[in-house]
Amino acid sequence: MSTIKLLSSDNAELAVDKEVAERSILIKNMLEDVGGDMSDQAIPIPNVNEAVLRKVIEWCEHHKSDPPPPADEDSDSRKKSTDIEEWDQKFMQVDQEMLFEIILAANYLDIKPLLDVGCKTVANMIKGKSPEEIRKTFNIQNDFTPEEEDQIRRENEWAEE
Amino acid sequence: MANLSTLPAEVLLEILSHLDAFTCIFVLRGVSRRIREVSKTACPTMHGLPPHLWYRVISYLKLPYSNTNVPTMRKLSRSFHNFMATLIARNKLPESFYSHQPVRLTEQRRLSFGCHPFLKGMQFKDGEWIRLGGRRSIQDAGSMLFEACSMVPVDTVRLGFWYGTFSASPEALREHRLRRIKPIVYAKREKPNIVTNLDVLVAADEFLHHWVEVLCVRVRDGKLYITQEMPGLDEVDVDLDEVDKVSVGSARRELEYIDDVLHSDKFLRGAAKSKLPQKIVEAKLDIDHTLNVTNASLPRAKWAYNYKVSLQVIVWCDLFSKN
Repeated sequence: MSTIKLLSSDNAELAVDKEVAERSILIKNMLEDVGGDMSDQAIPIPNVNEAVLRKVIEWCEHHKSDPPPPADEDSDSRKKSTDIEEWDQKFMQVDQEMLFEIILAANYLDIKPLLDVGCKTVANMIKGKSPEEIRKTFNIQNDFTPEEEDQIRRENEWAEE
Repeated sequence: MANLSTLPAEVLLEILSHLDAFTCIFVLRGVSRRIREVSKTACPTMHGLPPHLWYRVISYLKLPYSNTNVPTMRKLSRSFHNFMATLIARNKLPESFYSHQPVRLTEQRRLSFGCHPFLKGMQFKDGEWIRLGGRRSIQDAGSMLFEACSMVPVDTVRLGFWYGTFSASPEALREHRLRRIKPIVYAKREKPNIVTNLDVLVAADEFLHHWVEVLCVRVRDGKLYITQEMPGLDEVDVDLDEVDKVSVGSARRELEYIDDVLHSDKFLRGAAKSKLPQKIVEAKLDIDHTLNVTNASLPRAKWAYNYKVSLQVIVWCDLFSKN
């Protein structure tokens, strides 16, 4: 099995099986573009630091034998479901900053299933919470103007107890 | 440092795609400007309308007594599930018990008792679906809802049981009925003033194996009293140590309980194939109209045998106002 090297944004070189790295569509396309031979040169991943890249590789290694995701990206089975496999749930038990970094890395590297898992994890953190609780959970500043606040209150007036 | 509101729009859209439209519109639009804008793009409406207009539509359905009931609405989609849950939690369903206090019934209204839609076709099955301490438990109640079990919100309900099909011998039944059954009292956690469906389920669950024909279910002072007759509550001999050991009646627990039932495979299978014909229920109610609801006389029982081992019970109720 051939190995390739990935170069993180903080210049760490990580060796990884080609098959594992090809879970990333971005890397797969890059390798195809250069004819598959990158054994002597590290592929730069400028948007992802070493810690995040290691996590992403860990995920890709665990899921290297998974079947490719369905072609229909909007399939209802994938969307609107927040069920996450047990291993993935544990994998995503990281601090919030790392969680978002993984999501961003999955988005950049075009690893749809990992992006799904990350987004589902965040969706699960949103579920059942009020706007105020969501702000608190994600440390989001309430940046509405008083007029906008008033508009939101009017929009949700029908549901007031 | 990345956080939710600084994620690229395409990632935010991806996250929102895993949430229902109701959550996107009703909750997320109030979080921050950016999330509000992305949510508007991701979910402009909830199934074509904003939630406040769906609320208007729902009000014309006259839930929960119309043919389209709350569980039906909740099963439509995740959005509707959360939408209905929000309406319930916020007391916005006009006929739901959560919005009411017990009413004082007029004499005329006392006589207008009947089988509540919730109670029609209720079936219990022995031994298979176990809940509430392993007794036989409800298996099928096609129109089961979580509002008051009564036509109007009352604090006392008398339940009658009609055992359509059963496996016990007539001798065993006679023997059972001669026994005097000790009253049961449970502490209720919330909304203690109205008899709820869960109260009815608990009462039926507690007493079914005694083959009773009539039960009195009453809530007072945060307690659920289940008695065979209709005594004054100070006559109920309760071991006070027993109270508070089990709490029933919180809105959340009721919803969870009923959700469990609604989503169990057995319930769905049972609902499709084994409801009693409407005519039987109506015929039985005609007989019961002769019953004087102000005295404790028993309704006449009607028995039928067949080969089935399962037990079908029709429960109907009389309504009583708070004195």
